[in-house]
Amino acid sequence: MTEESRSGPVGPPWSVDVLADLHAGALDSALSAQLWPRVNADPEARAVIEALDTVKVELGQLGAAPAAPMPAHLAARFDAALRTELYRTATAPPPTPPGAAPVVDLAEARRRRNRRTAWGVGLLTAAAAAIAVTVAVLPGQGTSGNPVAAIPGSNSANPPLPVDSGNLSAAIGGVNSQRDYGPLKDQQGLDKCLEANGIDPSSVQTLGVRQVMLDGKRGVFALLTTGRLGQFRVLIVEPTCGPGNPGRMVNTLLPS
Amino acid sequence: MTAAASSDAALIAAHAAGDPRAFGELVRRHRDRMWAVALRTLRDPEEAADALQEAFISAFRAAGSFRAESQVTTWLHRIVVNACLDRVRRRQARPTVPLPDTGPGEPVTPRDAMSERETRLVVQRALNELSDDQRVPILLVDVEGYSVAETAQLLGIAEGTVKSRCARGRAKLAKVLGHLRNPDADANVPGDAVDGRGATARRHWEGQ
Repeated sequence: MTEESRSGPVGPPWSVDVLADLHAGALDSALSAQLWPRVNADPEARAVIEALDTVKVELGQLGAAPAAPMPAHLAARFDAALRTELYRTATAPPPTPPGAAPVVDLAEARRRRNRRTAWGVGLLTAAAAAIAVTVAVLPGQGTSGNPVAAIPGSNSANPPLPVDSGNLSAAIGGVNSQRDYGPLKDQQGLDKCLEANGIDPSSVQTLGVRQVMLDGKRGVFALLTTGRLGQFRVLIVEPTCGPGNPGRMVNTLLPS
Repeated sequence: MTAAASSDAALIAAHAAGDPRAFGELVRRHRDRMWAVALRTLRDPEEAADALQEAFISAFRAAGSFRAESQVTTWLHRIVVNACLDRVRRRQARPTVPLPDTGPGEPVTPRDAMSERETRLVVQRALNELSDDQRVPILLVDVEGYSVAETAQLLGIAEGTVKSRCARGRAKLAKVLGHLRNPDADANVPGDAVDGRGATARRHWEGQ
């Protein structure tokens, strides 16, 4: 095969395509060996090769540049997703044996993320909705016995969750994503309770709240973030928790 | 030894052994770097964030498959790249509005007047104007530092195709970035010709 049959005449005036192929090693070795001496002897061709070298260097600098941090809102979403995965795995045996790289169900992941995002964005407004939901189900406080429309993530119709103080981690799955504030009424009530326990509500995210029976005694279980992936704070308080009354039954980190 | 002081490999081992904090520390160390990779590959921040999330969850679940002979960063990088490439492939399968092409007369800012950061932005922008067919191999080879063989494997294409797509893309970038002394002197010089006649000849060379 000759040069003519491959790409037409190769040589001055040079095609940038041909020179770029030569530069990239895309031509066969025989043709390359033939062309390089001619290219190196021709200033015009050499200038194109140098331009291509410059492009490669500049592209390499993109990869070497310091990485800009992930935007805060995306980082928060990312951290929340990872946190959920970490704790989900911590409370359930991993279904996948080592060695097999599982495929993430993207649609499910997106649905989960959307739920989390909606929840996160809605935290500020959730209090009002939560009042409507939780007040009605409080024993002795509800204005009617009618079922209350549940907001996403709430499961206030559930009975208090039995919790063993010796095995708190077993209860995480039953509390996560729940919005059963019980006698604390709403997020504001929980926030006051957190403050009474020396926890700044603005520094934590509430992953779930649920009325529980801790070793047979009534309480409210709050599952909180700690700012560390894979670690959670479990705060269980008496139903009367509020300003000046921490009512602390359990305050611990999982894992400790 | 605390998690913060451990090596990446020790953290992976600790994670595989059930230490719930180890993976969080790995994420803290590598998230931003991997974010940059995902954003460069996918260009869209939302999509990049999704891909990164998938990648780290996959890595979390597949940590048992990590082999100590490879670098954790290399392993993680590849998982992120694969997650991004999956999305690129899906995007290619969907009809899309192509990014506007840069015309041959695109003004180029004088190079010496630009800071390093500005140069990177200009190069990034020029790279983003390439079609995915050219942009992704260039990204993998020239930006991320994969070999042609590794890139061919990642993309599932022949090595010759990787080379020719890189060649085509670099030629276009040389023109857009103003590195060619006389870009219009030759009928084959970038623009349409890069994807036209040159491509035909190249396919012949590649034996495709």
